[in-house]
Amino acid sequence: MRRAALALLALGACQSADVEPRAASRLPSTYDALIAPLLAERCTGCHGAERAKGGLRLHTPEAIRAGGSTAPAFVSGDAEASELVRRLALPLADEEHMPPGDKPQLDPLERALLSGWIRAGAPFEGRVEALHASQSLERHPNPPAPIAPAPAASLAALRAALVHVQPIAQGSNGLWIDFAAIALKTDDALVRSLLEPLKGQVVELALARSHVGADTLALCAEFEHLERLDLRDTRLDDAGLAKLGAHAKLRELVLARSAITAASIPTLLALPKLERVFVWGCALSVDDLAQLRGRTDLLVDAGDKPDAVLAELEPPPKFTNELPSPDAPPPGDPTASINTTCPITGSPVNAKYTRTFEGRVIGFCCPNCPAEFDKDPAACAAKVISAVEAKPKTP
Amino acid sequence: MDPLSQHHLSLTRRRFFSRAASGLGAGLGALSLASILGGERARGASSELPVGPHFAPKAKRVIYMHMEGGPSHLDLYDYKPELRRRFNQDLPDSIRKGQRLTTMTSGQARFPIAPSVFRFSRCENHTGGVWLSELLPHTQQIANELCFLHSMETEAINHEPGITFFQTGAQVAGRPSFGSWLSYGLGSANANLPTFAVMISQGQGNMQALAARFWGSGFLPSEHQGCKLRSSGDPVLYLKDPPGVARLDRRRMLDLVGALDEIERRESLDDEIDARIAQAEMAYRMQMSVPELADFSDEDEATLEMYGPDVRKPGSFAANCLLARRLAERGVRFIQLYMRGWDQHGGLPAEIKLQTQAVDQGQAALIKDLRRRGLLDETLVLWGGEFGRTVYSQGTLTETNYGRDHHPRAFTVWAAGGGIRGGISYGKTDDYGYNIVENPLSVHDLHATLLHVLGFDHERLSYRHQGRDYRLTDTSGRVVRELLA
Repeated sequence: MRRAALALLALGACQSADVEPRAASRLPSTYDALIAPLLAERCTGCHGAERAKGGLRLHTPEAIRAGGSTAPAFVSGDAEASELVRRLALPLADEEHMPPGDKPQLDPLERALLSGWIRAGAPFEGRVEALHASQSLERHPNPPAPIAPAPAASLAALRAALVHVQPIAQGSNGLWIDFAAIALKTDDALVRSLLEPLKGQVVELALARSHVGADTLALCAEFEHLERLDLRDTRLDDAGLAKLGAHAKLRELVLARSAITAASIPTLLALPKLERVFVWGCALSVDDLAQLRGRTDLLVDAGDKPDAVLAELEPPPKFTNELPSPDAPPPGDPTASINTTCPITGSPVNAKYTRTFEGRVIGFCCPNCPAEFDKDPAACAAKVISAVEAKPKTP
Repeated sequence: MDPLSQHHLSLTRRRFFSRAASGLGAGLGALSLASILGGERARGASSELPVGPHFAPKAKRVIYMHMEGGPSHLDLYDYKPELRRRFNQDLPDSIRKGQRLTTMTSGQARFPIAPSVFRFSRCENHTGGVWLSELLPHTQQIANELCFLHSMETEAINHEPGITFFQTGAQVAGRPSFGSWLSYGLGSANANLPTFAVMISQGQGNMQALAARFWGSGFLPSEHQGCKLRSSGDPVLYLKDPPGVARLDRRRMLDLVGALDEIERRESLDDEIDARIAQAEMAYRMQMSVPELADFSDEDEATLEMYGPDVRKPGSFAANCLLARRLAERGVRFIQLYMRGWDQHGGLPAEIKLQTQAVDQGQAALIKDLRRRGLLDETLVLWGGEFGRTVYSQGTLTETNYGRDHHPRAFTVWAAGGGIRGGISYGKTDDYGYNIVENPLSVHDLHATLLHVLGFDHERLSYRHQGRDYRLTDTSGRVVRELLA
């Protein structure tokens, strides 16, 4: 249920973002978009509407401000002094650590998110842009769905033609359509006959390796929700691509090994939402690519990404065994015995029982053995020293 | 009891209501679309509709390169220069911690440290660079695309349970393979090819058996099992029509058999008949699509050259990498490549050189080729064995030769592509590459994270069997956010 709530929140966030993407004031607050979903996922099972362990509820701004029975949940502006952050940072085994050790934990990014929000004054309204900057902090929103359901007959026709069609996510009417299975037999007429009734639903369309051209692109221009279009390995040319016009939503365009040339640069630059374009294998010169790359919000992949830089090569390896073992007693400890087994019984040495002979410490296993040693110290010490020196330092 | 009555009895009340319920709920969102999509199923389409991604996926398919035998992380990816100054020292007890060993080395009198004989280079990435062995010159070039996971751990110490664990999320045989879960969850994107394809390349050294159950569908409907493409002769056996049978004859025969099957299905209500019809229809379509798939003549010279000279030998790892790309661009969901022969208990330096020569150029070319075609963004690539290898030598250690035993406690795998943050190193091992000291990553965590980028909440992708819901991640697993793009 909590997950469902999360999904709804994320969905709400997205829809409002869709209404006026450019107006910051209409974007969801940091609390709504990031903090509340996190608390809902990890905390409110025990600290929420239904339960209030330790008197703490975290499901509404009012409840969070009220804090728990022993301390307030946070100190505005001071993450380190905040009980919430302190509890999260305690060792897992600590009784006060939250969430309890057997429950799913917050990962470092999520902890950083909470700290960052408190440091920014724990605002329930407005946005702390820095926290939104890292994409991986954003919850995976379900795609917004102002999309009408597709006509059943059209979907059936696609499937009968062996064209792959699938909702882009559960709960969405947006469609991912892939012509891979019949690509070699796919032309403009077929695409039009199958997709004309689905203009309002296509979000991702793959026509790679097919024979489509200008007419299909003219049709695509009418797909109001189209975000990704794959035209790899087609004979699509500049005139064809131009039919796309200034499509308002298209984010990714795959044109690798198509017939487009420099004449398509204005078309590509005119697509307002375009984020990535793949143009490997097209007739574009280095200058043409530079012109495309002049648009800084556009990632142009032309198959010319340089290899990773080899920053350093280690010298040819030489083998020694000079490093001491981490298990060896620290060198130069004057109180450490030179032997590891008791010269009297052969049992391991106990550091408590030693005698010093000519500056060297000899260890024994029990309180009785030093007495034996005292009967003839020189002979016993010689035995120990010769045994120790006979043993190689490293095997 | 006759099989028919037995089958009728197996339609329990619970099963009836659970099926009826999914029909009743069909007023809402995904369910309505799903039921419409299913309303008029193309003949021979899957008998159960895919679950569909829970949220919009970053990756639409997987290429999983499994290195059978357990490649040595210490000679490839996990750079431990200090070990060179501990040559032939005994592995300290404080590192070994009395942990379980295989019987192949548990009787050894000593556990002498065997530093890698190979030179490493630092390749730039987004986390201060990653050190890679000279054995992987081509992989070094794509280091800025790869996400190195240096802190993998597994519970299995032998090959069979180890591979089974990575493939199915459990050490004991019988669960569905990762590819089968994806086939079940996402369905096919190309009705003319198998949803889950398997290809095997032979290696150089010790080779362990690869059982077909590694790509089996377990308790999932059988159409989700992997389809093995053969490396020589026809990629798929018995696909060609026998001499004298024309394609039209084949069509007529299938129509007749299909009609008979349909009668049988109505009588017996046996779902397996659907799978049978689906497979016969797919085989018919594959007769056309497979020869075109396996024919490299439409690849340009530069591309073939990028994959290396082996690409012209069918069944080589390079050839299978190119075939994997061709399958990926034709919409196959899960492409499982196996490279056999990484089980280097003795003579490791010589053997691993041959193994890496066989995989390095092909795997690097695959990543580059996917990238420039716009496929890497939506293809998840995974490379790894079932465990790593020990820092101590199995058998005699010299300055130029050593062996390594199985080591499940820490090893390296890498991922790349759709939804995964490229160019980073995650997790750390101790100075001996023996224990994990930072960010341990279990097989369940890896599966949970991969399912996440494929659009699934791993806790909700489940299948009811023997009275309980099963998942790929069993009862464990955590999505590792740091790895997401």
